[in-house]
Amino acid sequence: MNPSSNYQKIFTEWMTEYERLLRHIITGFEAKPAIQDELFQEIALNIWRALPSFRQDSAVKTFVARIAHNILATHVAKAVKSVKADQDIDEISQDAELDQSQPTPYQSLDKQQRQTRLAKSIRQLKLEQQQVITLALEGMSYQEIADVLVITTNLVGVRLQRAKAALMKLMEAV
Amino acid sequence: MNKDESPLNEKGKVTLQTQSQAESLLDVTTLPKNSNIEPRDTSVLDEQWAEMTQDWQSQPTTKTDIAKLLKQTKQRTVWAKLSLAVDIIATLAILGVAIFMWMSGSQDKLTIIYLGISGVLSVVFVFYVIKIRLSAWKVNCGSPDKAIKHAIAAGQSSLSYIKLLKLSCFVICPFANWYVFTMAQQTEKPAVLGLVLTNAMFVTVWFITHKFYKKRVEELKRLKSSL
Repeated sequence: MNPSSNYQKIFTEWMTEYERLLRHIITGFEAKPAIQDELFQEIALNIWRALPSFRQDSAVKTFVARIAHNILATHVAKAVKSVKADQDIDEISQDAELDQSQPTPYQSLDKQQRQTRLAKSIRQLKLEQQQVITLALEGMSYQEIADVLVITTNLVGVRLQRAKAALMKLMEAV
Repeated sequence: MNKDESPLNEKGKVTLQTQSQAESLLDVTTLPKNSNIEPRDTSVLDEQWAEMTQDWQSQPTTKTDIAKLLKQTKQRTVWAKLSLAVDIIATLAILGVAIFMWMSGSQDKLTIIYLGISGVLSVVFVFYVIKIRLSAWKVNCGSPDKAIKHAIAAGQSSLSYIKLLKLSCFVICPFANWYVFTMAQQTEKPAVLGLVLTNAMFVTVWFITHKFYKKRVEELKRLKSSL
């Protein structure tokens, strides 16, 4: 197999496996669906370019998340004002698919409201708090978060503690 | 002497320059809790956090056509490389034609001068274009802080290119007017339409680049303030 078709195979596998992770992370940084799509494509492009430099010394999940966070950190830093714009998650996509088992209408509404509130609150956090909280919510360990953000695990602990406290306050205030 | 004023105490002091330096040295999570603040029940917090994690991970997402995404990604990479190749080939072609006309003893001195100067200016533009493109293609695998610094460097290159483009409008405009006017005289045709179109083009280019200039300056200001 030539390197190009090998990269295509790896890219397809990675994007299929981590699509949800990437979409979730993007939601924590940007509210507008059109910009979310642009960011997703930008991340995909950077993953494609970075493929030849990937070494097995880091996990694929960490590698993909790091590229995404680099793009998103730059995006947030560039467009501080627009990122704070909030939008209901139910406006994000009409054809969004839910892979959970069908809940009752009440449960569905309640969950959607909670998800809206959560995403909205995360977008109001400081950049460094947004970074740790989005990764922690994805179930990443301290070590994995440290690898993605290139900081110490101790600093991850400190930032996460503060981020959680700030998030709880925002969730109560929203 | 007061115990606190003892010079021995100075040795024990550590000066921390930044907040992150302090955070990495002190494990705040293990510091004793302030007795005045009533701590929340950790089990409630854990429960809340678990619920949040579940909500976050079950967020609805749009399904991407990965095959289409791969095709688009490859196309974007190819177009970016092709665009750079066209810039370089066009510059070499302009210089090549100017050198060929000059070496073959062409009598069209006006076109030789025009192509020669355009070719030299094009080399300068291509230099900046290569710099900007290479910077944009640089793989973003470092820390997010480095990514922002990288974006600042790329933004500064882009700003230099825009400044050059704006300045070149003033430099090339009189020269292009002279070329159009002289060509019109040589072919015995009215120069007005040619001059109007040439100047309208320069004014449009200047305003478009100025708009981008203002946008980039604003972006750079935000990027720098975020560090």
